[in-house]
Amino acid sequence: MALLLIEGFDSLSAINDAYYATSISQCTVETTITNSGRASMKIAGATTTSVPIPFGGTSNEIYFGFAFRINSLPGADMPIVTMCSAYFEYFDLVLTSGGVLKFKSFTTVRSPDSGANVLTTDTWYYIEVKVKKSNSISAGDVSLRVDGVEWIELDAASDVIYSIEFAYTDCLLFWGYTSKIVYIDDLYVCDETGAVNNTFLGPVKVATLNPTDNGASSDFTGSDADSTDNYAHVYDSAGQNDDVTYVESDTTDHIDLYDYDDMPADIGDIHGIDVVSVVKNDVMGGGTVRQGAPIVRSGGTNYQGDTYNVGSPYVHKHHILEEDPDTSTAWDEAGVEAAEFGVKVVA
Amino acid sequence: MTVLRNTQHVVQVAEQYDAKLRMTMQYVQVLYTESSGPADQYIEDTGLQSMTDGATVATILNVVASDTISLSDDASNFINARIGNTLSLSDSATVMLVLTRSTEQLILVSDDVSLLSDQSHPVLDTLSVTDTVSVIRLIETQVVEDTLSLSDTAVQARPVASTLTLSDVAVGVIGGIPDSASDIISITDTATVELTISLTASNTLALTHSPTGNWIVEGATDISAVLELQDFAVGTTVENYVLLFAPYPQVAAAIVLPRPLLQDKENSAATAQIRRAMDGTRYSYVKNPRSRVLSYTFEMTRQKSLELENFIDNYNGEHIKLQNWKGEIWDVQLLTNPVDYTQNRRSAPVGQTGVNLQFEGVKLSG
Repeated sequence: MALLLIEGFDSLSAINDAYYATSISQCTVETTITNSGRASMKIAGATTTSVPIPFGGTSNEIYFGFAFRINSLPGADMPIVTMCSAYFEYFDLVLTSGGVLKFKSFTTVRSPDSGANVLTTDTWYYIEVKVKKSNSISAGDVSLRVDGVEWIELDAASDVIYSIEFAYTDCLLFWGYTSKIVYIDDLYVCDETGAVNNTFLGPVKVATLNPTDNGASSDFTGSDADSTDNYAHVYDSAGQNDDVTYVESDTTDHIDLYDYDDMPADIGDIHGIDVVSVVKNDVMGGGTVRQGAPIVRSGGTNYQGDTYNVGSPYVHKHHILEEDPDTSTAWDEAGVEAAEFGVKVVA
Repeated sequence: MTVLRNTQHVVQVAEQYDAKLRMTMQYVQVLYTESSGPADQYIEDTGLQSMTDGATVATILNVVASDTISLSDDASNFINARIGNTLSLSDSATVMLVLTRSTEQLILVSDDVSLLSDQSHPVLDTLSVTDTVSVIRLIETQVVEDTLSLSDTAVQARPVASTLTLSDVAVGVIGGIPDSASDIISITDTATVELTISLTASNTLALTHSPTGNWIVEGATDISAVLELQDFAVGTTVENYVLLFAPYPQVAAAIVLPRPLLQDKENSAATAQIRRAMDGTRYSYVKNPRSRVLSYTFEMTRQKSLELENFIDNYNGEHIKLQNWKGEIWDVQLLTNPVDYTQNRRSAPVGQTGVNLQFEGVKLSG
């Protein structure tokens, strides 16, 4: 699998809906200043404020990109993002007081930096990083692009990793800085595996689509005790409202499907889609615990995703598809708009 | 005796509960690259570009040949096209078109297209505009064999044009045609033209049917090919006609008259006088100038006669260049004074007003 993570922050009411922020009040969902869509992630706190975003994967080579904006430059070196494992830092992308970008292994600065290429304030930049998990890297193993243009290609180096104990990079840690406001949007992570999405994707955006109508199946029961408008119960415009509106079922093979919004007008190539289901078991009562799975209906056929187990708190379950299962080719605008997405009780 | 007292009895039952899978929210995130062609981007094109729906594209075509650009629906485009480009526009497409250093370009515009074209140094450029097209076309100097055709309700502002064809209810505004040759302007049907032209050599202005408008011709400095059709000018059929240009050779105005009626005359202006001297000797004084007297009787519309009256009022006594239906060109002066107009019929499309004009002059050619 090449594409590991898609996050536009558009459907979150709070960062902690989906991720663990060290400060709920300092890490919030921003709905005014965005690179695309309804929202971005805003970090307005101290140097200790951070949001870890795990993406899984076991690959040796990771590509990730995100839209970045800051309201003023820091007074000293400020880590923007740390590539780490289990929240243990080893490799930082750092913004200097002059707007220069550079990589650091703990306290050791890796050369070269971005030189004359600098970030300015109150401007969205799309930053992409290629990082190879190795304590000894060759030239080109680590590089950085801004708005599709390469700014940094690290020289060969050894002792890159602060701790050599890591098995792989599996988490991005986005940082705040004292008296600065940082915005993050349109995040993706992929690795070098697979036939597609195995390198820099270039400046990309994340469009978030919401349910607009019931689809081909409406087996679940809505929180209003009927199934006539189930789509409305799983569309929360300002983020999840937990048990206020929902659909539920305890019957195996029950499927609920929904039609979704049309795509934005500026859609070009579609790299992949992520069906995000915010689900739980309504109670852990010692009886049967339900298993669920995402459903994608394309070309008149239901395609079931990986089965998941959930407990009583709501969790975000992601189902990433790089191709339309009906055509086995990349999604196109018509394919996404014709597809239905939903949920199934597997057992 | 001991009494056992039971004050409370509680039975606790452990009950199992089967869970329901509950979903409170679902959404789909689409990771995508923006489509190409935002308004502030440029495309260097080497092939076919098709843009539909609400596409807004800034396109610059450089150093390519035979490109085809198709715009449909509400597409907007800004094009800097070069050699051999073909541009087809339909529906309500809007185009800001800049053509530079172009050769043999063909532009087809139809339906409700609006086109703003700023073209420098075009050669053999053809633009066809139909239906309700609005065109503002600014073409700089040094135009050769440029063709612009407007039909239907097309509206055009065109400072420079070599060939202009207006038909139906087309409205044209034409101004300033400097230093161009072989120009042809054809106005047909009910076309209305605000025309300011400066023609030099071998120009032809053909007016058919009943076009109306204000035509001002500037810069009559050389060869008598400049036509001035002032207010109330009315076109006439041009198969057989008499053209009057005045003053000659510094021509400032012209009028097109229909061919004269039969019995037109061309007489010699020669005279012979015989005198007898005191001694009885007879002397003959023969004046045999090169000049000839031309007598033409015209029938024309009432409006045309008013135009002729205006022409004669302005240029009576001046040398006039006369080109007749036989292709002869004369340098003449008007002998008829006063000019009598007769109303032959009360009302008719043509020919209700008659007038006889006599000219004396020399034939220049023909």
